[in-house]
Amino acid sequence: VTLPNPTERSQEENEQFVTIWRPPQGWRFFSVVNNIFVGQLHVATALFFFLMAGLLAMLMRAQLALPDSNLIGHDLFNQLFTMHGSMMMFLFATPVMGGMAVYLLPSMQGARDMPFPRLSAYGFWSYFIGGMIFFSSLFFGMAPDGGWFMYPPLTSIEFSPDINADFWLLGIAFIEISVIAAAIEIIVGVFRTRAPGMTLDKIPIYTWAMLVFAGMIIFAFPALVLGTLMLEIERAFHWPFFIAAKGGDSLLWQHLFWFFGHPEVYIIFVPAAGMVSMIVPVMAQTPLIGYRLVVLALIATGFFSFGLWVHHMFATGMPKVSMSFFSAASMAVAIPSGIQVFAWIATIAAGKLKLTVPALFILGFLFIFTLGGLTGVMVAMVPYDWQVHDTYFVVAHLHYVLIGGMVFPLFAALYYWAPMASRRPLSESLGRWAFGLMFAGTNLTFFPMHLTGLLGMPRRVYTYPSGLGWDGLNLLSSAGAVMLAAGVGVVVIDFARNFRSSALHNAGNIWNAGTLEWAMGGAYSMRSIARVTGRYAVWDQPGLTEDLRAGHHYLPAAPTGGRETLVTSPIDARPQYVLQLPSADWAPLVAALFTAGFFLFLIFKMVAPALLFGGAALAAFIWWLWRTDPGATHDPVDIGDGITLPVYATGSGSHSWWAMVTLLVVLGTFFASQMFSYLYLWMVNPGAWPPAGVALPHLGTPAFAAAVYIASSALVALAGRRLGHGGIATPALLAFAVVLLIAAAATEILTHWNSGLRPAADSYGAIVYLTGSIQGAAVFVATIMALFTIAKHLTGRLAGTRRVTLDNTMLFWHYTVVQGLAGLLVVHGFPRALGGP
Amino acid sequence: MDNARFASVIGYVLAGMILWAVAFTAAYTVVAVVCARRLGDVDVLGLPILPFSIGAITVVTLAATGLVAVAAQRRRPSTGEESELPAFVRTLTLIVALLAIVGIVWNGLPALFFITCA
Repeated sequence: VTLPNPTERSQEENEQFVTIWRPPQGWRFFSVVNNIFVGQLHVATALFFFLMAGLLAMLMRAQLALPDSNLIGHDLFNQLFTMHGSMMMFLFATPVMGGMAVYLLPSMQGARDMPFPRLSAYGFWSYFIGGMIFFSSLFFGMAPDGGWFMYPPLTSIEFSPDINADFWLLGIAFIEISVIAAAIEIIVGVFRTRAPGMTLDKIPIYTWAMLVFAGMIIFAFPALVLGTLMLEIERAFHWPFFIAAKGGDSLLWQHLFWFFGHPEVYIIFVPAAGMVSMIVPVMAQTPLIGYRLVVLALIATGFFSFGLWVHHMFATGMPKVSMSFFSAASMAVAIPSGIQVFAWIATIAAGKLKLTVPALFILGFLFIFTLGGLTGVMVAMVPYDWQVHDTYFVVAHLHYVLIGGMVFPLFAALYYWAPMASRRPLSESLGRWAFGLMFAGTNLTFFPMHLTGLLGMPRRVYTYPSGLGWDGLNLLSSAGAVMLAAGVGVVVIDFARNFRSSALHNAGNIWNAGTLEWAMGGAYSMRSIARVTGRYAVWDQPGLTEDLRAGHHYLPAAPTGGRETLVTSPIDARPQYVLQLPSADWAPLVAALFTAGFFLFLIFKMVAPALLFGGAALAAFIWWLWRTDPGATHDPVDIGDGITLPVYATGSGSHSWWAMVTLLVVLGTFFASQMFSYLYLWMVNPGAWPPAGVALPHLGTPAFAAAVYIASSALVALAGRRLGHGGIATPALLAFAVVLLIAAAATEILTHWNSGLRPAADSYGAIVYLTGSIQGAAVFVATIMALFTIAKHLTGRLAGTRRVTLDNTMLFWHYTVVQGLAGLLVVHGFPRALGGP
Repeated sequence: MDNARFASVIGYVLAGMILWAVAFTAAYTVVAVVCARRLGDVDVLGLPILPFSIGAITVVTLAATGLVAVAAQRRRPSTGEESELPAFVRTLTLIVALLAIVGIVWNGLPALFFITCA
């Protein structure tokens, strides 16, 4: 078979290529954007938070080891369990999976970087800075103390007047930005930057898993963002979303939180399962059995996990028939997990398993996760759940599922992929000690908790009297925790002794693995981009690694003089265009610093500095985006195999369009959560929608606002058509559209104000103004985008063929108008449809 | 062209699960609204409203899921053109739909056991 570029590459070209991809040196390293480095920083930060959150757990176990202990007061204990849960979920589990994806995905699917490297860097810095601020709140006694799920009314201003709760709400909101950014990037990366020939049926299972992970994030996280926003607004401005006396309902928070919170469990399990599906075939030296069934299982897990949230609320007094739906889905989700477990066992049976450290961690995972799954089926039964609700049985269950389902696969992955990232692999002997201690420690810590739970010990108590039968079991749990910590400590020592990061001089494919990431040859992943013919390219295509490094596959070197990767079609992975990637850039770090300042000042209610930092962050974004959308700076280039590709794309085929559409899906989910909240509050306020004494505004004003919205969209569409015809029609039309958009949004808010409705009066007013305010925020962003587009046009950076900036603005604009119209329809139409005034 | 093909492939693969989600959301919403508004004793076509509506939702979504599974199989890749669904997609569509059917049936079963808002 002829290779795409069979001829020898020149030495000069090799050197130029390496120079282009060299990371910045010295203190400039912090401007790095390349996925290899950003991914490793991300994972290292997440592991740091894992250790810190683990230390908090050790403090709790020390307190609980003996009855009537007063080692730690209850105030600190409340902060400890809140921070332990919040950090493990938000600062460790989700980010570590995102970081691993940023590191692994490009090389696994034959790309040289993620499609938006600066976004990866911004996501990392937001997470790093936000996480450090959040964590350090502990040292000032300001850490949140309302439990990791922060239920109001406990966390409402009345019962938590200090800023501890604000640290959680604003800190987590900030960190969520990086998760959502990563999800958007993963979706675009998986669909559009796969190596030529890597059709849907040849995608590595880990990549499928990350696609499902990202898809779940864009549907789950917006509900949490909305919930945190509502609770923070309630605390700051007294809009009563969750206050029963004013028509709110604290259960609404639980719905929003668990609509995120339950999928979240699978958001961290799905990538772990993907890792296991990569490691098991290599350890058994045979392809994965049941590839299609495993893909099915991942997709089904993604969906079913959204039908489970109420099983956290079985004790809240909902109708039994409602709970039965969630009970059914809770059992249905066991099927895909079972399919995967059987596929792994079958693969192990079909090959010959080498008991290496990654294999041991996977066997440990199978044992612990299966036990957690079994107790999961038990608590999916409503009557059983009532029996053990809020006891240590649940603590045991969730740790079996999370440690078994996520921590063990992650440690398997760290040992498995370390030779790809480091000059030396991690130690087999230290790894065995680590595994043994962690496996025994996990079971010794958490198995007794099933029994303490059944004996009635409630969660979150800082101490207990002796003589209730809990003493010995608690002591065992504490001893197990020490063992578990020792196991993790061994891993830390192993990393300190053996891990020496190097993409170029890595230890290499020591496991004889078959997937593409093992052909990595430097910070650029691939010297040339593979033509893939099978699921296990390195196994199926002999000599592939050497051919890739010698530049015999696609796009050897750098024809445009900068960093590049290939964009391919989403289903068949046909080469479409060459994507020019950015080099080191300070903008992401600067933008993240200012964004962090914005949130930090908001926590302390210092509005003026917050606005100042918000403005500075906006300036940093503009500085960053000003240099995007370069246009066709270069003639089409020959990538090999006789294929010539353009270096720029516009319209629905561009990676940028895909990212914008994915972002709009996130916003659409956010809006849907808001409409759910509206309907929920209506449901709990029979006969008071709107409340007595509040008149709905005359229909004329919303009709006027709707017409103005539609007119603004029409103007923007016209501006798009006029681009490339010369003159100032495009910027003039955009400017006029901005005026209309602002007028429409302002009309809606003023109408309610003039009719006497006030947001702090009752839940109806609060949700109506929330709808208007969120629309106002969308209008603000659309306005900034339009002004940015106008500036680009006036400085000659926009043309008939160079139009991605305008296309993105148009997409966002039309979405904003549709959301505005939907808001008007619900706020003015729904109460009338009920027969209101 | 690519986007249309993408939408059709993803649409087929996910159709079963989307229909499960529709069944789940519809059943949950109907029960929530009926019970919150104390309409649980209303009869529709001689049947109490809850079993009737959950049963109807289940039957309709089951039928639709079955149609998707059958429709995906009919697209044979005889011409080898890219507008056809690849064999992998057809198989995946079928097994996703089959698992969705299990989910929809389980979701509908409560209608046979609990028929009130209690």
